[in-house]
Amino acid sequence: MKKKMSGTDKEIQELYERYAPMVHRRCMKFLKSEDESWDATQEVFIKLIDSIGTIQKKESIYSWLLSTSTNYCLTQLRKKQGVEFDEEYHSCEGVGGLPQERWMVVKEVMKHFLSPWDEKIREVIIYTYVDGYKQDEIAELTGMGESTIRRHLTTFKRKSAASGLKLEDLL
Amino acid sequence: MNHTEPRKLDIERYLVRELDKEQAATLEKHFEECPVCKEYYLSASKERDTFLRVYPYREVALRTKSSARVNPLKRLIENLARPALVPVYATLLIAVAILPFVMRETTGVISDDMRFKGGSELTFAYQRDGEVIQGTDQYRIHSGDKIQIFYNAVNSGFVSLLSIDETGVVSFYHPDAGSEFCTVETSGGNTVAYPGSIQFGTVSGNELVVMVFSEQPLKTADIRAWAGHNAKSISDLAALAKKVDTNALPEKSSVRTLLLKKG
Repeated sequence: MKKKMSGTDKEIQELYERYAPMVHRRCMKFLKSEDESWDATQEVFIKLIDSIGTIQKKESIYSWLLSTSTNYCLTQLRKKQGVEFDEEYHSCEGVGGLPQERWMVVKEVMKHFLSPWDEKIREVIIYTYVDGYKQDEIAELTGMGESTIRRHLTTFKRKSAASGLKLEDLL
Repeated sequence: MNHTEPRKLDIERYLVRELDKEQAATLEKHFEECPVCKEYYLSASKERDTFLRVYPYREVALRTKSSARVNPLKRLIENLARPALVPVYATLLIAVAILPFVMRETTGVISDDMRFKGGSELTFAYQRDGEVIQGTDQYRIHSGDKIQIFYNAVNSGFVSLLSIDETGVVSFYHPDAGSEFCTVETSGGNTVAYPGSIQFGTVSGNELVVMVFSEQPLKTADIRAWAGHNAKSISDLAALAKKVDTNALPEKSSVRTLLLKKG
């Protein structure tokens, strides 16, 4: 794939047909809404067209899109989380309230997923638990060493073990 | 090589034609031997073809062409100028420019004690069908609405949130359902969001939302008894909203109420 983009219709169409389906699939995984996923796909695809000249030579467009669409979806989820009033915190007596301790752990894990300054760890966690990639695949996608990936996963496991928290609870 | 699960990344990159010829040939050969990988590939190809049928390139071409080339600043200005945002600007204008004067006129001088109690009534926003709307007197409860309560408190202290329905049932809204206390610590502030939302399931009638401000944490059992006593003494929630008996509460505690009516 040439990294320079002249932006002709044909080139954009080729990019779209190669990559838009996987972006959409990724967005559906996180956003779980057809409309939101379609919007997200278009936004990510526009980002791709804008950034294609700057994508690192070593990086594949596929990895770039995987990472960009994940970040885009998490941003959308974070916004949604804001307007949904911190749903996890809601407790009506007798109706599934979270004990304070568990809530603190949930918050801690959410921080791992959603905070922009923990992007690398977040990627490893998501690729492992959401996508089911193996460590060598994650290394290929992220450019991290496998030992770094193992360290990030150990940190994550340690922090979430106490709660019995599952990723599906959050996404 | 035999797999019990596919090596996803290779297959996904094969689908977007990112593998070189040699890698692609190896994978194609592997498909002949490994039904698991082949099945994953076929299912992903099918999904890709369906997507391209539903969202063909020609339908997005115009949008990508126009959006991708627009200056980000111009895009931002265009976004901010959307007619849909006019009500938001109007609300902001009221909040910033008009409300402070109105509040000053209506509340007059507030004693320290009263200010601790939350200088104005409770306010709320609700979420319905994914949309968040500022609550007004015209609001009517619908099943499934999520309600976020806001309060004012100049000083730090504790707040407790509960609701009483028309049959006298008291429900608490607290992050720790197992705790003997029903209060949440507050450091004070204006339009502070009470953590978490209230979601009504089946709506049987009006609901009176009650917020208790106190200097110390309050026990759930004590507040339940106090709320039950209030609910028993006045059968009409609208009347209760106007006259809550605070005698049984600790000194310097105070109460704010919000009557939510059934639609």
